[in-house]
Formats: sequence, C-alpha cells, structure tokens
Amino acid sequence: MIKPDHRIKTAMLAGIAVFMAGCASTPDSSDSAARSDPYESVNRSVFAFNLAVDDYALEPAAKALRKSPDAVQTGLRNHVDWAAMPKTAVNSALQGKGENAVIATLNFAINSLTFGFVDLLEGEERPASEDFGQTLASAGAEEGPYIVAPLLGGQTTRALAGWGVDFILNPYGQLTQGIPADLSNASIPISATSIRATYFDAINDVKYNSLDPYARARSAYYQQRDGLLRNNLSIDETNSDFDSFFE
Amino acid sequence: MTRDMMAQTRRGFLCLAAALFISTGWVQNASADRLATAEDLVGKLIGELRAIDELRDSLSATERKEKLATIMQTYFDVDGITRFTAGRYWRATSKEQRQTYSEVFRGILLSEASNRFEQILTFSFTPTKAQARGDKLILVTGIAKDNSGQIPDTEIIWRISARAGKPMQIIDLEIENISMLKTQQDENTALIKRNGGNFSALIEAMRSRLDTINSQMGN
Repeated sequence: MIKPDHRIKTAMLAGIAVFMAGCASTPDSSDSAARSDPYESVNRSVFAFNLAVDDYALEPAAKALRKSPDAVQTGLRNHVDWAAMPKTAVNSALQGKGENAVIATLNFAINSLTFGFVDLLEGEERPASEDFGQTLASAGAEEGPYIVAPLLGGQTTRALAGWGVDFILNPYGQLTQGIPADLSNASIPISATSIRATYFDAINDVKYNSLDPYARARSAYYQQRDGLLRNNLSIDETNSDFDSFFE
Repeated sequence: MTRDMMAQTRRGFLCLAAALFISTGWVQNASADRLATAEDLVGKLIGELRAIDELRDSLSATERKEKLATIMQTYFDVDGITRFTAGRYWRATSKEQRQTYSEVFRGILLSEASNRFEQILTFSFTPTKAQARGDKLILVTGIAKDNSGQIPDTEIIWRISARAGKPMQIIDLEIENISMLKTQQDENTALIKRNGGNFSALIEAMRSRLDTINSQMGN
C-alpha cells in the first residue's frame, strides 16, 4: 500500500530533480575532464565523505558478502537486477524502444515468482538498462553540471533528476508497511553492497591506485554514461577521442 | 562507328570492369586480412599471458616481471600511450620533462602490468567482431566471461593501432564503455589543471606513486 505522504515526498523529490535538470547548463566539451564541474570543490568534499562511508561500511560489507556462498551472491545480484526492471520497462516505452520494454516487463513478471532472487530466464535475452536520465536525454534535456551527492555518488543533474523518478518506479518504493517496509528500508544498502561486491576490484582500483580518485571516478562516470546514450552513433563518432593518438 | 570499333570499345569496358572487380576484391581481402591480424594479435597476447601464468611456480618475481615487460613492449604501443596520457599538455612540455615523464610513466605501467594482466586472465575472451575506423585504428570487440562467475558477461573492446608500415599494437582496452587510456588521460590532465597547468606536478605525483608501488613490491 502506498502512504499518501510517501507519494508526496517522492513526487516532490522527482519535481525538484526535474527542475534541476531543466536548469542545467550545456557541457562545454566532450572531454570529460573539461566537462561542466562548477562545484568541483564541494564535490570533492562530498566525494571524500563517500569514500569514508565506503571505508567503514560498504567495503567491509562487500568483502564479507564476497566470502558468502556463490548462491547468495548470485541471488542478491539477480534481485537487484530484477528490481530495476520496472524502470527499464517504463523508460524504454517512453523512449519508443518497444521491444526492450516488452522484454523488461516479461522479465520482471516471470522473475516476480521468485522475488527476483532466482533468474528463471537465465540465458535468455536481457533488456538493455534504461533510466529516466536517458529518457530526459532522448527528449533533449541538457546534461547539466556534475554533482556528487552524499551516498549516491557523482552524476549529472539530468541523471540525478532521473534517479528521483526511477526511485518511484522501484518496486520497493511502493512498499511502506509491515515486513515489506523493512525490506524497503534495507533495499538500498543491500543493492549498494551487492553492486560494491560485484565490482569490488574495479572500485578498489579507483580508490587505491589512482593519482586522483575523484578525477578517475568522474571520467569513468562520463564515459559509461556516454556509452549508454550513444547506442545509435557510428564508429567514427564514438572514437573521435582517439584521433589525437595518431597526430 | 564501325563494327571493329564497337567491339574494341566493348572489350575496353569489359577489361575495365574486370580490373575494377579484381581491385575491389583485392582491397576487400586486404581489409579482411588486417582485421584478422588485429584479432590474432589479441589472441596471441592472451595466449602468451596464459603461458606465463602457467609458469607461475617456476619463475622468480624478477623473471616474471621481465617477461611481462617484454610482452608489454611487443604488444602495446607504449610510446603512443605515454604521449596520449599527457593530453594536450604534451606539446607544451620541454624535452626534459617529456623524457622524465616517459620514464616514470613506463615505470608505473610495467610495475602495474602484473596486476593488470592477472585481471585480464580472470576472464575468457571471445571475439565477436573486428572493425576498422579509418586506416589507422582497428577495434576488436568481444565478450569477456568472468571465470569465477562473479561478474556478468561484459563487452570489451581492444583498440589497435594499425598504421601503414608499422606493426599492429594495442593502445587501449575498453570495458563497459570505460576506456583505460581515456581514463588515464582524464586523470592526468585533471591533476595538471588543478596545479595551475604545472606539468611537473603530474611527474611528482607519478614518481610518488611509483615509489609506493615499488615499496609494496619490496623493490
């Protein structure tokens, strides 16, 4: 059941996020190091806070999870993927990607039988992940500056706006009473721990082996985000960054 | 036009068409050969890394490092990678700074090679396609399967320099849209920018990083 105040809060969150995306400025370059980061000083402070949270909570939890049986880790991973299917289905539909929307819907419906912990469609085609940030991008919304949010990490204001809307589409966002409410409260740390465990080495590489972890994380974010948005670009467009290699 | 002239003209067209057909086929074959060579390069690299990995118990740390350094020099365009990672600041630096940067950067590259290659060996790579981008760059795309089963199948792209008259060499590995080369360049240029465009700040940071790596490795 959805509590009215919960709806209001999520709607407000989404509204603020969309407003922020609307106010966003245009990036000045495709170079991720030179992209819009006007709040770099504040961002770096929040990044340091997030790293401290990772030191004391996320990394130890992920390390413990990695020692658990494979079935536990796979189950959690499957569950996190399953919980993201409604957002993929809705955003695919909004972007006119009908086939992807249907695959995501079927995936969510069938795996609901196991609450997502067992992937009953293993080996079948997976939908490409779509979020509201991508929907805003496809609608022409500007990217906006880079913001590092406490606990959520670095993202553009457009993606942050998308996160607010996608939060409503998460099945946990709709559960607010009794045992499901407890599950709902636990869903974010569980997802975060599962993702941290899956990409444990890659994240530790950024954290411990970088000259500037903030710059490296920002670069990785922009590249990954661009990758999600450039589905229909040609090989020439997606590799122009490397032209200077041959000069 | 006489019958002889018409026959000659027809023969001329036929010869031209045949020449075009043959040359087009030759170009296509040459292009396919280049793509196959690029794909082979990746396969050979992985094969050599596996061979070294199998000798893990019989090689000393120094021997292993030397073998990996040889692989790095053979399969990777280390000079090009060094230059590219300095970004637009490379052109503005002095000859001495370039020399120092190259030495320190190579030191880090070779010291970290062992870890990087071990990470590569935790995956099995199946190439799915090779594409040329212009006449200098080839992309070999494939699916990396994590041997431990912990990470979902991932698309990776090897970028290969394929300049005429030079051996093909790897310049980049892209995993899930994240290019290692581009990330390193962004990180380096951000560090220089934060230090007011001072290239020496990057060299110092890299030297400090190299010292840390060496002390961790007990060198």
